[in-house]
Amino acid sequence: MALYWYAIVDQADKPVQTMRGLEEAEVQLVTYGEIAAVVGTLDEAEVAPTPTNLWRHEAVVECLMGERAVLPMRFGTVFADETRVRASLKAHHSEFVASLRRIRGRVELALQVMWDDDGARSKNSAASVCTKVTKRSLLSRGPILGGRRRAKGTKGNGRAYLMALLEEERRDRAWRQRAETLAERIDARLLALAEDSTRCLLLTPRLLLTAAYLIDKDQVESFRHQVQMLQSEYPEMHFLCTGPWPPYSFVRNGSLVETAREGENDCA
Amino acid sequence: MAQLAAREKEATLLDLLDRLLNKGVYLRGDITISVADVDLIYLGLKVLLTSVETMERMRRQSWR
Repeated sequence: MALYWYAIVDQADKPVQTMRGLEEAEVQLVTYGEIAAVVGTLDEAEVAPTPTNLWRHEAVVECLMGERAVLPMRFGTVFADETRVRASLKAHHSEFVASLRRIRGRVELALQVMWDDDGARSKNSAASVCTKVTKRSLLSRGPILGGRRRAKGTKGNGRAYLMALLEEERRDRAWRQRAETLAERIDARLLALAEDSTRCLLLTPRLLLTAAYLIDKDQVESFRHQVQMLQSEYPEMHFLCTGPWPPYSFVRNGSLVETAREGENDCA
Repeated sequence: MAQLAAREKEATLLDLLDRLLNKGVYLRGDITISVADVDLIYLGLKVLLTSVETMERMRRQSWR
């Protein structure tokens, strides 16, 4: 028997509404001061990331979002017992309180912008750049996904090969620069309505921009309207906006929570 | 209209997978999850990239 951990919430003294999660277990609060962990009992020793289980996890978190500030846990967080959960709350208490404050009254909206640029079609390499942008200017760069280099139209001629490689590099750089300019322009428009954002440039050659925005609940309609305006301004691109999501992308304040892996980044 | 709905649905599923597998508060529990942590994160990325490419291909096919 163990405890599946869904989220960290505020208002620890307010009883949680009745809801069932994985294995149909009713959720409970494990409190520490003004914060609490939302957990459910689990008979199984392991939790598989099946679509059903994923949606069950998400349903609990979204239900909580309606009534309090919520820091969603990653899927699959299982602790042995209440004592250990409480110890974890205690160990990270100030971090959790700060994060809860940051997301209180806010939701996350996700954006994907696809483009059909000529350059994208011929791309055999994609250098993706991910940044977490905060209005307080805390920037972190994620890993860059490299690709293969292949110089076209050269056969056994060393100099021609190098020249072709250089030319391709130049075109590649120009293409990437165009992508960056466009993405920044789009992101800037939306960041103006947001408290914070994360963004990934060219996660794939056709995925110009992948971003998440932390928005005040009452700004959601304005944000969606801006996305629609951008769609009409850039009809050749496709804008996909999903949400509101619980703030999965904004649970950290820039400092690390226990055992975040080296090289792990927030976008990919 | 139906096309659009399908696209939005797929985007939502991808966004869900990305969030639940790669984001959120990450604490090591006392019981490991069924898929090895590294695999899970890698899986999250692979699924996301593969599915976005598939989605894009579907979109291009439906543009006539």
